[in-house]
Amino acid sequence: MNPRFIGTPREKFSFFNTLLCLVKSLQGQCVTVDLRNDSYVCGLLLTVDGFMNLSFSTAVYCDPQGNEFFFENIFVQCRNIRYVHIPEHVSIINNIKNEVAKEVRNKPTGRAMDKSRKAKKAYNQHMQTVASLHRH
Amino acid sequence: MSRKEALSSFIQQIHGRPVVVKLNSGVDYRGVLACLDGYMNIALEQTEEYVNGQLKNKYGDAFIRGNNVLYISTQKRRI
Amino acid sequence: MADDGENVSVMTVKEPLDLIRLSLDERIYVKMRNERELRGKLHAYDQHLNMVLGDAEETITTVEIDEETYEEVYRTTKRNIPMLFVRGDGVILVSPPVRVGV
Repeated sequence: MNPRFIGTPREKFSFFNTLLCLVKSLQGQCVTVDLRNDSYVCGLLLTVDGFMNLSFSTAVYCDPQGNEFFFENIFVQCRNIRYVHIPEHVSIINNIKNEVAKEVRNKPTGRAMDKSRKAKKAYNQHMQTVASLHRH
Repeated sequence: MSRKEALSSFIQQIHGRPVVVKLNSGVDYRGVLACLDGYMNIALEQTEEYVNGQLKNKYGDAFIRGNNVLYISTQKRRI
Repeated sequence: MADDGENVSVMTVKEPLDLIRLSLDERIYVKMRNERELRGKLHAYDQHLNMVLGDAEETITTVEIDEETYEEVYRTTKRNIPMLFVRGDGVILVSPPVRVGV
């Protein structure tokens, strides 16, 4: 259902290195998003891009005065997001693991090994950090 | 001296000192500087929050997100 | 790494984000923009300070002017959210719980 994550290298970096992957794992679910001007959107989360811009289908937008508007489709710009309510049944660790694994599985192989010295060093450091997290 | 050197020597100088951090909103935080990074994210100990010069809150440790920081300065008097 | 073998509790705070790392799985206090405060258990965070808080309690403070006395009246409203993703750009301050015996 989820195609490979599309975006610039910078967006991909965000996907793998920030909690963006958690938000992306909520695609296809009904979520509520609180916006900065005290309004909120509740609907079926369709797509999440590398900046955390969100698009919904069949969504209800509730403005600060409490008026509700129904929209077939709605796009929310990332800078206006304050909170994303995570559905209670979601296990965040599993969701992150699955979401990242999905991308890694789909990764085209071949160019994987021609890393620069700097990239290798960063990779090793990253793996050390991950290992130290598992120890605790 | 490059900007980077100037900053890092400033950081070394004020490390562990009592500081005042002013935010863009005008709120002051006074505390002992634990550390800071290149984004001006700041970790303070024994933090006191002042709004309009009045003590509003105390925190043991506090992390302040760098984008809110207007300036960081050392204190004249000890807290 | 240099701090291998050291206990977590004695690990020093080398950069500000370490303070947040030490607060994982603890109830923290978050001061947000627009007079909002959050208290909740920190499940996850990232470099932007996006955070996932469990059992979050949001406190919103509004100031109203009393029409008769013209005094400022502070009103707080609270709500609870079982699991909340907080976008980092709204965060002003994060404070871990007061640790005893440090």
